[in-house]
Amino acid sequence: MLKHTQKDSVSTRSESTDTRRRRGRLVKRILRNKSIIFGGGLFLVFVLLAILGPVLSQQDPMDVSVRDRLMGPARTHLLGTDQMGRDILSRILYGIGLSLLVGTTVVALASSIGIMLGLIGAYAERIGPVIMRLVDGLMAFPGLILALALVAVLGSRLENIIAALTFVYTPRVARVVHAITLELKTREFVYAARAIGVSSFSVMMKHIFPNALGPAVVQSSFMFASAILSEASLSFLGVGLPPGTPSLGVMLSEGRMYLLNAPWIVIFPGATLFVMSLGLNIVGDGVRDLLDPRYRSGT
Amino acid sequence: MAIVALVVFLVTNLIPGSPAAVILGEDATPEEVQALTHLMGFDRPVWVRLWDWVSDVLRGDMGNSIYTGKAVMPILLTRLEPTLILTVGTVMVAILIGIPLGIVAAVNFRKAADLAAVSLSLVGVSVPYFWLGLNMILVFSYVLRWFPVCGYTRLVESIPEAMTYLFLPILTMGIHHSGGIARMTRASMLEVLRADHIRTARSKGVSEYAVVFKHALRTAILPIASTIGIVIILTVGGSPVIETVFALPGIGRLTIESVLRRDFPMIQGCILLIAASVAMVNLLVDLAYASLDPRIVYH
Repeated sequence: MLKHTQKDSVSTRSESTDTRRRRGRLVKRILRNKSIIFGGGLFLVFVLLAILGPVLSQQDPMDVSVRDRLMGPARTHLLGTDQMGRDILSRILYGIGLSLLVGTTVVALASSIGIMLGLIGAYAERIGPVIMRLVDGLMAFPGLILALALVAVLGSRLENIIAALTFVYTPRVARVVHAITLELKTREFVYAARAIGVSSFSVMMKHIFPNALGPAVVQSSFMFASAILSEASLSFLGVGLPPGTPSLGVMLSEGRMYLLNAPWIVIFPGATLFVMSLGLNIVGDGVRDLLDPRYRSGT
Repeated sequence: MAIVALVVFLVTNLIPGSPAAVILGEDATPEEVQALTHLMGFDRPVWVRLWDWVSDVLRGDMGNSIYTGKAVMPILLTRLEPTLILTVGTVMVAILIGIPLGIVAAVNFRKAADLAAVSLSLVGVSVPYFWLGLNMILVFSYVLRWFPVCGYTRLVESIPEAMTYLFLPILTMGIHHSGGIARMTRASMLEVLRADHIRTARSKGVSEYAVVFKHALRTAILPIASTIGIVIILTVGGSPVIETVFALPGIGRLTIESVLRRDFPMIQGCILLIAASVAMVNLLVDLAYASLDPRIVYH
């Protein structure tokens, strides 16, 4: 009995040392990955800008000043003012926060639901195929069109935009996880786990889920930039956030009327959106290089 | 397609809340909402409405627009031309930029040309195309005065004039989507360029031009064809945005106009048409596989 306990504690200790070593190797690989460092750095700058927005710009993003309307970049208004005399810098800082909020929430919700649906789709014999056919049906719609239809029915509010985009992106994660789960189900370690009597649920959660997480994370990292651009597109079209809201898409939509006389109203919010999306896509490339073995050789 | 039609119906019929309330707005009284609900038949059981709608659609009748009172189908057909030309043009520009860029990157793997090509493609993927479109208008229409700001002339009236209106939208979408094609071309070519048959061809003294274009590109074309299919879908999906920027009277613009007017029959018609064209593109891409790779045979 004593021998068994000693053996168990030794194996637990070696397992935890193994986990620590693996984590250490992963951290080293992350730190060596230039895309993650550069893109992540860019992303971090935007997070800091969103958090420190009120400190960096003393102006209220909603403050209307008719006297200062369409003013070019100057010392009082570093990035100029819009058609209502509102400070563009403070509106951009607020807009970055909104974009990050939408992106984070959509990615978190779509990834969680998508992973769950993908796993169930591959494991549940009866409802699995039904779920996956629905997923295929939803994938037949271009994302923006489906989001447009949903927002049209639900109404233009932040929570509805998040719900619509979550609905659009969930099938993409589900399909990736479903494909990888089907492949993992035929692997030897899964057969071995089943042979020693591990239940299907445990196999799914303890053996398949951790292995399917990598591709899901890669998918999610690209989804972040896409969700931010989709929210901006909806707002640009006038079906996203209500007019006047300091969102980057709304700013572009309202500013395009003044493109010739005051191009800064359009140039600065659009450039912000572009750099934010660029940073996230670079991170996505880095995460893919890190987690997908096919890309480790640099292809 | 049956699942697609079902989703289109469900999106506009099973969402919590009454579509009549959405059409009438927040100021409508319950009596007004009830009257419109009855008038539009939303008080009938869902399965009855589904059956009526599906049987009407199969006969080519998508109902009448709530806004104009006219039949949906003829309106959809009149709006098809700009979207169709925009999509074909975008794919051509994206291929013309994307494939050479991807080949240059793959042939010069980890050299300066590769870095430049990868960076350019990343910029293309990340740039919000509505912002790029607005910048195009600013430079080419307002400053240089080379192209009209917005509008459209039908092809039957004047082909050159129609193309002056379509040039900037096509260029905008083409630049944006060329990034995806370039990235896929690079990845696919890199994989093929390391294959045994390429090494054999080189050892036999085949010229580098023939190795790249006759041996490698032909083998690498399948994933590229798949990406071209995705570009077509994304262009159709992005048509509401780009057609709004350039005021093109296409299907995308009609979708967004219908969404803003809460014209549900028209929204259903637009989405069904777009989803059907997406399904058609997917089918054509699958068929293209067989002609591009003789090993693929469909039974």
